[in-house]
Amino acid sequence: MIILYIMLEPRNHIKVFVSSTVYDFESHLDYIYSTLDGYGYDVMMSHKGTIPLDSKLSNLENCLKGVENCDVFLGFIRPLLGTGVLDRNQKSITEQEFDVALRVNMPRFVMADYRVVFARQFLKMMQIPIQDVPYSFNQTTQDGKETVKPNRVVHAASLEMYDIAIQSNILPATARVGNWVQSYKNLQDIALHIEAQFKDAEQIKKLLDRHE
Amino acid sequence: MNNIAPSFVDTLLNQKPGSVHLTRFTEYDADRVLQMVCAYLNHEGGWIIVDTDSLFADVQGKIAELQSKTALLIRPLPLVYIHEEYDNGHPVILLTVMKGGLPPYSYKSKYYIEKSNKIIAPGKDDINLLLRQTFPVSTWELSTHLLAEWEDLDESLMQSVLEKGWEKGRVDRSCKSPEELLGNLNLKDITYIKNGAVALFAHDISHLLPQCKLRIQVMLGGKSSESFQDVYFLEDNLFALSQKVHDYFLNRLPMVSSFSKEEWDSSNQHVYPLDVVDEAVTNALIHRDFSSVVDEVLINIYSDRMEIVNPGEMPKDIVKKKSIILPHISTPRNPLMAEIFYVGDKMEKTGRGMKLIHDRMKELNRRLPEWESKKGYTQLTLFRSIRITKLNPRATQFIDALNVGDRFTKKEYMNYWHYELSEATAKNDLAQMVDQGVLIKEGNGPSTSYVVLAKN
Repeated sequence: MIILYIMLEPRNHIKVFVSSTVYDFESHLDYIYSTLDGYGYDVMMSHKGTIPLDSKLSNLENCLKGVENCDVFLGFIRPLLGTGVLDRNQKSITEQEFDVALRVNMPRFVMADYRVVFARQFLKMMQIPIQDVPYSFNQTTQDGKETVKPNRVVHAASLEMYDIAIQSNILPATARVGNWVQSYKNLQDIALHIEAQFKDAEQIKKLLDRHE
Repeated sequence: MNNIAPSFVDTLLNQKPGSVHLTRFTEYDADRVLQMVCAYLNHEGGWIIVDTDSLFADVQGKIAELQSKTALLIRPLPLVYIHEEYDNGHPVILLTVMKGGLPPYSYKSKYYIEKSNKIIAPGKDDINLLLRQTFPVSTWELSTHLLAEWEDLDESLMQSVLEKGWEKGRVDRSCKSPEELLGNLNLKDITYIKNGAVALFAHDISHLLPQCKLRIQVMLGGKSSESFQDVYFLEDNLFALSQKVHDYFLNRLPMVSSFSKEEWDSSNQHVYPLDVVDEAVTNALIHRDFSSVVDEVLINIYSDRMEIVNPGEMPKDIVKKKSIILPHISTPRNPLMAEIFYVGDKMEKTGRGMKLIHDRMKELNRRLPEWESKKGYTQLTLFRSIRITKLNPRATQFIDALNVGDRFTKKEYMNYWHYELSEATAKNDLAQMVDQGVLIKEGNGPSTSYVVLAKN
């Protein structure tokens, strides 16, 4: 008979909201969910359908309410905004989730794709404002035709999220608090950071006490 | 002496304890089985046998259920081959689980590991250990190709692979597009296309991955011959290469005729069985080392044999004396590319390729194929000739009196003769028969027995 031994951590009932775009990130999100769940956290992640839903609210409202009702925020700044952009003139769902986390001032952990970090540093060096990063650009194909291609390198809004997260507008730099953003290149980088920050639930509880 | 020919499962079960990673479920419980699959994926892979006594006639239904649940509930998409096999004539379900290419794996969003045949849902310390111990197997296929863009990939080919995966239950239909499939396997990261995706699907491969090439050389005069009867050079993505090679051999391999007195009928078959050639070429293409841009897969055709040479040496301890395939879990050099080939039905019996080639040639009474690894290459030789075994008269007489599948011990062999046969002589005879591929030795020490594999 094959026996299942359960050595899971006891549930600590700390709610962690994971905010991220999903495109080409699904396997990473699966991993993040399984690891946090294995550590005993209650993981709120729209990709997994674990955000409590109210049928009287829109998708956006449900997500934002989910952030408000969580204890800890884990956000990923990725190069593209994904499909959660409801209106070009409006912030995406991920951006608004980040805004709520900042407003509520819950303990937050932010990781940024290395391409966002590099692009921000490059633009700064070249003194190119973020607003000048286009949504799309013209390209001439091999047969001489002009086409419009969407920007699929890095969105301006992602760079703005990064700027806000590192609090680049607050000077002097020594006045910045809670502005640590961990750059990642691959799953192993994410794994190390999540392990370091979340493996000890008592540490997270102390953070919650300080944020009350 | 038993009369049932040993199946693959029989062979597995008769291996030295601890030499193969194997779990047996005496009852069908899909959850437990898939938890164990997940645990194996997070370790070195292995085999899982599920007895079917409780399933009556629904074995195929249960196989389909396990297949679809694997595709839906295990993340990331794993490489698991599930099919019906036989243990002493009774049907069982055999799952061949290869070590995952993108660890760690989860089942229903939970991790599982295995220790001493127990499934463990790990606590945080074991999770941390799992994270540290599990890193991607292959780096080449996951490295970003600096020049490739999505438009460089053949979208209709990718779509057909995905549809084949849906049809075979190897990919869940919630994976709706080729972009999603490649993204889930980390072969694509937004605009970054990885080497594995390029090798499998690129339109114009020559400027992107010059090493994706294959050469067929026909040298009927042998290696020392100064002229080639034919040279055929192919350069394309791996799916297209596989098909082009198949078409080449389909159209050009000579046929041989054989006449059966029992059936009073003649049959035509290719001098090298096409299914064997397909399997051998697929293995060479997928398992080769792509890191060198100048290397290629080479097929040399001589008058008496065919050599298929690919860059990269095969793991040690899976082939003994060039022809004997030891039960082993395949550890593909490029597991994610192997997975896409499996999804697209280009690798049917994942993890069993070498054994299939070996068994098929034996079934056709051909000289057994030989594998050799040296100087950074692996060479598979398929022989055209009928197998000739050289046994001493005593061994020949003994084998002639038996049937394929009969089992006996050394003592039974010694007692067979009406004269006294020394133990040393018996040992030599048995060793000779094993060496010639006529017998296979099973077990150790006092429990050692021999099974007839072929008549002389």
